[in-house]
Amino acid sequence: MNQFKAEVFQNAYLPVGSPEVNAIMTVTVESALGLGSTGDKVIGVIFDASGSMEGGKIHAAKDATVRLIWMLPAETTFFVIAGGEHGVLMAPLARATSDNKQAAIAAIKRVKAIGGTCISTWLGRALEQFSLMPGAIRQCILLTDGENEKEDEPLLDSMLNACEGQFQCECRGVGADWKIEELRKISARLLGSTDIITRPDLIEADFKRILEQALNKDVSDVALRLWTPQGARVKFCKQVSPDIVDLTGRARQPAPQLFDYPTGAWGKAESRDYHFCIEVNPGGAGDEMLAGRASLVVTTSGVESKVAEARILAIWTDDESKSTRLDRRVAHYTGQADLAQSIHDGLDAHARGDEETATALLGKAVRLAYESGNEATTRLLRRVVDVESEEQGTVRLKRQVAKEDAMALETRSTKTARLSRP
Amino acid sequence: MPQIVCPQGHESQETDFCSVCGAKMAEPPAPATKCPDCDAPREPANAAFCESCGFNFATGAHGEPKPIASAWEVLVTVDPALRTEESPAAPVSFEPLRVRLNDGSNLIGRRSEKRAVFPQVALDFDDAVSHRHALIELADGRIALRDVGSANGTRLNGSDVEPLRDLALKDGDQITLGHWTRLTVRASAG
Repeated sequence: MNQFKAEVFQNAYLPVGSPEVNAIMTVTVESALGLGSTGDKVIGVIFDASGSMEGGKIHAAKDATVRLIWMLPAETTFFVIAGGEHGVLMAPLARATSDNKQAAIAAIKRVKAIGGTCISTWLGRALEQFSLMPGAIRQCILLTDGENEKEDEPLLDSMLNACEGQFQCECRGVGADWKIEELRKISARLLGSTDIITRPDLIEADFKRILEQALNKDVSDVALRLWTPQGARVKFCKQVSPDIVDLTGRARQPAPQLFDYPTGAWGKAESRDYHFCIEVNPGGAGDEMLAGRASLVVTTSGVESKVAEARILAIWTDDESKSTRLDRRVAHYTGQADLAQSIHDGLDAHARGDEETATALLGKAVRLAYESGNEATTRLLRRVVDVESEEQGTVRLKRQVAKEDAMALETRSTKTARLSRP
Repeated sequence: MPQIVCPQGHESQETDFCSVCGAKMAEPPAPATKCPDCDAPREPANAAFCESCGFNFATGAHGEPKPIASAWEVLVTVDPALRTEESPAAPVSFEPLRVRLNDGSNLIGRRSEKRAVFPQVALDFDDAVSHRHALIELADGRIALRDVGSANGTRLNGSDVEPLRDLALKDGDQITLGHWTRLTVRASAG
């Protein structure tokens, strides 16, 4: 039944004495029906109703939420929270029947934009609702337009600890007054993404896309389990496609030598890539060992089942023609990570007024995006810099850069391109 | 699951690479493709014996394992006192039977042509004995009884025997089974 497929791409040959093993693993699900979850789907919507949303934004957020509720299939379960200084449950957990939808919509229409932004309380409310259906696929959407109150920061951290593994959360920032780092922190812990919605009238289309993705999921709580040999160290474990998510510090250790990285829910025909970098005790010429065994583990009512497995090898050789060859995929994703970093640092330098560094780094980003065929990122870069040569990476900073454009570039810089077939 | 030991000496739970240190496991020797004795091809590839000369690929000898000279025998008797209420009447004129234990593994049971069961200690007269009832195994001078999952159980010196566990036997031990069958273990002189 389960059709998870795991494939490892690497150059297993290492020069004698070298400890570092790099590998890309591609995981594809053909169909995961009947695995891991009860088949129920819970969609939670949290929209910001703080004072800053007053005017067009609160209208657009309410409208988008109402439209999303209409789109929900009858077999799904939903709830709605309006966020302010407190999270207010506007529509408690209920089946998406026509009556329940109408009651929820009537409640949403009454919401007024007022008060501050304390996201920890919003998430707390959502956690209460999600915990009523633990076996379901639990997906939350969080929409905000502003910064979280300073006093809420420590509370948010402990709330994230409580929510981790309990539900997944997609974060969306409307306009340009919200903090990328803040929403990224939430979406990274809760296995979602963060994106910008530049204009309120685009909220609806975005909600629709998130809902479609959420409804497509049919297996929840999948862990990526990495076994490493004694004495080895995991330098990093990152999801590198569809976007870059560093999982290195997120592992649980169910046993010595085993690391479980959370990957959340998976849908039909979904495919993701992971980059492992493992340091092992180097061997001599001709030695061969297993540097890692990566598997996907689905937990169904407390029982673990392994659904796919792939091996990461290390073979030491003094034949340089073998050991110096870089695997195409490893090289590609190393480049994509470099691209994201260059954009982050470039925009940082730009914000500090260091134009020289910004030009150099954003120019490098343009070249890397060009070389890897990452057209989406190239398009976003072109709104921030004037490009003279993509190939050389020669650019000039635009005199006027809209804040939204810079934020869009930053939030989406972690989206990677897949390697095209050779 | 049997433990496998890697080249570094770790006990591994995996067969391809060591589950402790990751070392590559030594390849198991390739199975013989022809008879080492007469050079005839081994067909099928997993055949237990050579079709041509009867060479046993597992033991490296010819034919069935050779009987081992043993000093053990069982005396088969019918003991009407063992009868329970449901049992049919015990046969009255049953001549005690001496069975010499000549094999490493001696099956106690009832013969069945259909199921190809041919016990060394055949107790066909007692239909409460399972076709495959118990084994008496001889190895390195030791003798042991094992109930192999019989339907009605086995008793050793009057107490029930746990199935699938070896129990050491000694001269004079009484094995009772079926309706009214009694086996006496004897170390025969010569």
